[in-house]
Amino acid sequence: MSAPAMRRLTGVGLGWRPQLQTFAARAELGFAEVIAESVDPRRLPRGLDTAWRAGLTVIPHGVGLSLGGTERPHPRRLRRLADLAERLDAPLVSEHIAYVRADGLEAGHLLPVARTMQSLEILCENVAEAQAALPVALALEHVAALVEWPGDELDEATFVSELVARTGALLLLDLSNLYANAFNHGWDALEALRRFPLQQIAYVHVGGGVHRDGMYHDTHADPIVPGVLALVDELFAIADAPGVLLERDNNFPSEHELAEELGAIAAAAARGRARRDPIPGDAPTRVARRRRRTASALDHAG
Amino acid sequence: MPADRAAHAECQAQLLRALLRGDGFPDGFDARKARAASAALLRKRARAAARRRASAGPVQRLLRGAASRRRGRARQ
Repeated sequence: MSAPAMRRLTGVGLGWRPQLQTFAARAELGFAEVIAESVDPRRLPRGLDTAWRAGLTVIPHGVGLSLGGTERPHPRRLRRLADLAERLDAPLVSEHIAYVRADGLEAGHLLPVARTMQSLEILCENVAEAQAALPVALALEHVAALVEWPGDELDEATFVSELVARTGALLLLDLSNLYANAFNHGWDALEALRRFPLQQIAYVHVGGGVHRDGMYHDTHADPIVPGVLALVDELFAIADAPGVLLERDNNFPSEHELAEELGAIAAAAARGRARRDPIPGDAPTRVARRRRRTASALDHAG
Repeated sequence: MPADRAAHAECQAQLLRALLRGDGFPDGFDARKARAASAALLRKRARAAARRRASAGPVQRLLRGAASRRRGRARQ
């Protein structure tokens, strides 16, 4: 199934945060994303409203629907997400393949779902309900998780592919989450990347993290590690990928550092694109050399 | 809620409660990774609580100021 026609997100984007609004107003961003639960559709923060009025495409990014939970998505939460999409004239909204509450407890964090057929069915029902309530397409993001459920029946790429195929949802591919899960659970990140439904990608996330105590923590508060940039490079080498958005939630860097990080993402995407469309005659050596470099960056991460 | 959803809900709730407590993880979870996940979750919740307190500060100050002015007018 191919992605429904909509405005294609391109270039490098940034997760809009109040702390980054001055930078976001000046930077030439391809697009932006705002945490849906952090803004009121009737009263957008002035900086966000100004950037939007200047033509910046802004994607509402939900964190509270709990689509992987056993409770149905709450109509009030869906209404708010729909209202924000309409207010921003957004081409789509995004949410997570995760649960954030259970038995009346709020996690305050995105928790992984078991990758079982039963869990998949619950997700499909919740996603269908969300899609019916939303005025635009829904993209789903797989999360980074330090824990895996015992008894998982499917690997992550297969689980996500099945979910996307059954619901017609788009994919928000988070390369940092993929890197984190591959590192922490011993998967081959490149092999997993190739098995995600790449033709369904709405946009791509990357965020910073840190290696600590033999694990990789997807903090969104540290610089992007080379292994994640290597995945950006590889993605653009194997697919006609859309825009890549940087998420930074804490420990905000200087504008110079942020600009450099956005530049590094754009450069990685450009390297990958060049591999996909190599210069005739030069291709085999260059492609082989860069493929080795990508694998090496992932092997030596940490 | 159908029986299968209810059982699934209980499994999710067990994991969440264990992560919030920092121990007693359900059978089959890698304890070292679960402890790390718990610590990360608790740090994130603490940061969120601190942000809420900080953002509530000015509002609380305004409310306290208004209450103080009302008391002042009442004394006049």
